[in-house]
Amino acid sequence: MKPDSTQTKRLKRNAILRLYNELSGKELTKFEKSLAINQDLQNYINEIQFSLHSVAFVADEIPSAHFLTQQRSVLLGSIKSKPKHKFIKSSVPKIVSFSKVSILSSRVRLYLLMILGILIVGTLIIKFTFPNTSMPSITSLAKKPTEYKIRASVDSGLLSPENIKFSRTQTGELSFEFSGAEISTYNEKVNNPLVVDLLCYILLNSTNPGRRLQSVKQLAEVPDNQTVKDALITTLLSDPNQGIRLKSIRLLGEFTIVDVVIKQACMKALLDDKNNTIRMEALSILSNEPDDTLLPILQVVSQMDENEFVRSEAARLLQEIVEET
Amino acid sequence: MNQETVTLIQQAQTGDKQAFFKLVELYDWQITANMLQFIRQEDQLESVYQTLFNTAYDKLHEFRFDRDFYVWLYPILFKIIFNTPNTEPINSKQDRPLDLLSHHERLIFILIHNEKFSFKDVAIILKRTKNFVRSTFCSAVEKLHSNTVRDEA
Repeated sequence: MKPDSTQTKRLKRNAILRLYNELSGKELTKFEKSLAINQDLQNYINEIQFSLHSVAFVADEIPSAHFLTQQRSVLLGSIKSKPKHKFIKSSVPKIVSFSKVSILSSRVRLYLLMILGILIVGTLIIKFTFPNTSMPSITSLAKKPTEYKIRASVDSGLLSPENIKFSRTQTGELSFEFSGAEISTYNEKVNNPLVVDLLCYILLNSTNPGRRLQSVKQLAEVPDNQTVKDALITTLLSDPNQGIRLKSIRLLGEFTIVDVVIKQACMKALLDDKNNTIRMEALSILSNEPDDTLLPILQVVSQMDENEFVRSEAARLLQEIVEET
Repeated sequence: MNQETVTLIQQAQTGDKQAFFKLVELYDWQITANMLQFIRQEDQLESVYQTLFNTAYDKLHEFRFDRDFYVWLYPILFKIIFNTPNTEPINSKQDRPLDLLSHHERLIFILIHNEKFSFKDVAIILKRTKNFVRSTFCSAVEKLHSNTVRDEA
């Protein structure tokens, strides 16, 4: 029986997609069955291949020097008129007066961000320069030869985050698969130090947001770990994906002790993050241990945050702290 | 990416406009040559050039040094081209087979057939569904095939 036109059209489109390996397993199986009994379809594939070959692209045009000179000149003019930093925007409303602090402006936000940035960087430098006993060195952790080899592969750059795959086994362990390294697999519990380091490594270095999100989800099972905390803070402050930043700040909120580094990171997120929910989470963490060091930031946020709910919550917390002090 | 480029990006990220401009001078020939694959009208070319580098300036703080600067510019460029209003190619005689295609068909065809992007990557770059990319690509191939058959006849 001759197939109807819709079916023929679909088969022809699948023939094109097949040439580019774009058919899924199920689609491919179905297509191959049709192809086996349809000589016209086979002919069509050959014709398409010929057509595609004949339209092989040749880059026969190059930009003229005149065009580039002209465009650079126009661009220079428009770039010169732009503000120097993205986060100093004239569109941010200025506050004329405030009951407690009268110097608030967009410049204050910048100064606060700079101070917080310096404090966070300083704390992290001290932490890595003078490691305490709760953070054993990578070498001392590598008790097993397998672990040593994995760590050596990571340290030497042989094992990029994209070469590491992991999944959960039925026994609850994480099963890692490595491509391009001496060791091909590694199974351990999530709280194993090497597993934690590998997950943090993927979280901080993978270019694939899906992988980073997968890592941060697994790290939720490692409570109050110093390495995890540092990785989550870095992720919160630098990851371009808002879903991953949100997950990170939520995990930071689950730490038993909200230390000064977590607090500073939350303050920076509250001032700087574009995502309303992340700023709300930051405010929520900060509200667990309110003190007068939060006053300047809460004053800025309660007046300048673009989200009404964040502004009102900041104002409420500000009021509480002022009343207590 | 060489050290000079890395330094220029770092300087530009701190607000050094001159460094950004040097960066443009390093890359704009290559980028414009790439644009010519997709756009043949000079006013559109100018518009895409300016939009691309202005957007790059605004987004430069998001650059994370995990890829070449050119690779980072690529998706921004394609997104701009994709959203550029569709117009007829400057050469109305349609002496190149790709001139038969619509603006979107030409862009998606070149990305997949010439630049070897996967359908999924093109969908991500252009922020469209994979089905849209598949359908547009197939439509482009069908048009090119019909043209070849007609020429032979």
